[in-house]
Amino acid sequence: MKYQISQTAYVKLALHALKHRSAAVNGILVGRVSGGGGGGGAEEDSAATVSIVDCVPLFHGQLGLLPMLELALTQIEEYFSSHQEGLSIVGCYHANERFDDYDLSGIPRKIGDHIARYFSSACVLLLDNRLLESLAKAGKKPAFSQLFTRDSSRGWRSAPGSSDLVLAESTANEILYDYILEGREQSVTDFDDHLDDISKDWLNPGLFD
Amino acid sequence: MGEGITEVDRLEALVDEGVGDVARYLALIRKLKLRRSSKVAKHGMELLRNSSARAKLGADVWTVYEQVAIAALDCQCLTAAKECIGALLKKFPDSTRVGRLEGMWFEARGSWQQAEKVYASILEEHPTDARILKRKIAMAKAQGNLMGAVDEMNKYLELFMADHECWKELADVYLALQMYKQAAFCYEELILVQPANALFHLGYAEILYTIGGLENLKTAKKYYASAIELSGGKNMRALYGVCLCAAGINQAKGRNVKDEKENSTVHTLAADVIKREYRLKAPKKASLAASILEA
Repeated sequence: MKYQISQTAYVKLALHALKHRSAAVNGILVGRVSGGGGGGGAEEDSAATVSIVDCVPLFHGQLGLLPMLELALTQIEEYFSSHQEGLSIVGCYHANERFDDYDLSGIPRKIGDHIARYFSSACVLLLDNRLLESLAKAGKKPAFSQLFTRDSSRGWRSAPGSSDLVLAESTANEILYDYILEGREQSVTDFDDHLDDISKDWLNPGLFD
Repeated sequence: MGEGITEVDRLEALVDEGVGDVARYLALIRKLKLRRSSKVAKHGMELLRNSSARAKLGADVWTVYEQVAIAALDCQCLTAAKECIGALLKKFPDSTRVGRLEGMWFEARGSWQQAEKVYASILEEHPTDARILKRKIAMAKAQGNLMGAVDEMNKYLELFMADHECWKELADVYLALQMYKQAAFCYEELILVQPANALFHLGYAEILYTIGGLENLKTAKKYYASAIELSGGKNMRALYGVCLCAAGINQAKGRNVKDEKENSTVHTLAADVIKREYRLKAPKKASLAASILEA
């Protein structure tokens, strides 16, 4: 299974992490499967690609509680299945609180497990600050995330090579770099912000204007 | 708190343009305990390096040196931080409060052992210095030693058991470790210390819901309800929470007819409030919210 991420999703999740530099953040990845035999079920189907089309930033700070997570997942699934054809939840992203923490901890694993119950090729993206530093030189590869997928024993592993993550648009890193210089991360709204003030939209409609 | 933030943002914009009152901005940041380190470091250093601006601060200058030092450390501007700490050391050579900043300078560099030495020597003379004990907790956390941080916090709380900030911090670390029952205990202490604080009722409800099971859902619903009351009916998380609990109770194993009957009213009221709020403030999302609540 190959994984591809759109500029929209990639830039949005990076900005979310940058907005909350001293906290852990997470969010949901939304997309579809194309090519191959269909439905995301066959691990041996290497012709298929999971396209991560968009993402929804969820929380910052406290990520381990269930009620608002359940609420968010329900709303996201409902919105994307009725408004955007063929799009559903395909994974999640997570950024650790400490800059030198490269472990995939229990919380993103659990969220990933939950998503995997509905989509067996679910992935978890873990942001890695070492790679973010080399953003300017990154070019085509995503600058700062490790991709985790489920192996046969239902654990999460990072598998470079066969499960690499590819940028759908080569301009993604440049755009992100420009946005960082502008301070655009301040405009990201996550689900936490929405719950604090419901007039703020977790779909982030004006973010890329 | 909302109006405070608006005022700070307004001052910040003026200060960024070079026309604002930096001293007032810094004072408001201190009062609201906000963490806006790059702005504080940038504008603070400019102010402190200007001798007439510095003189206008009067006795506040030392508080500003401390505030800017910490902000500079947060941004890894170690030279700037050293400048501020140096000025404070000259004025207060034997202060444990300044000693803490020296330790924090080492922490910012990742020189944990040297920071430990600084703190150990202060603790020899002042074994219950709360600020230094908190640094030990922070250092454990910064090095990823969460269980070590838990130990230090439990030791600290034996000395300072009404320190609600520490109970909250301990709860957060337990949650990061997915130790939900222990986190729940912390929130019980928080509610004892501040029984009218809606956020503590809310936090407790969220943890109980996360642990799950019929009895916990019923208790969570009560605490979500008290959070709604204590927040004047405005807290969206609590309103949603009551609905989530009701749905959970209706599906829970081991429930009986009595449970289901008691379950119905609060969440219908909450659902109505939610729908009304969305119609008023987030009309594009109103139908999405309504369909979720109906389900």
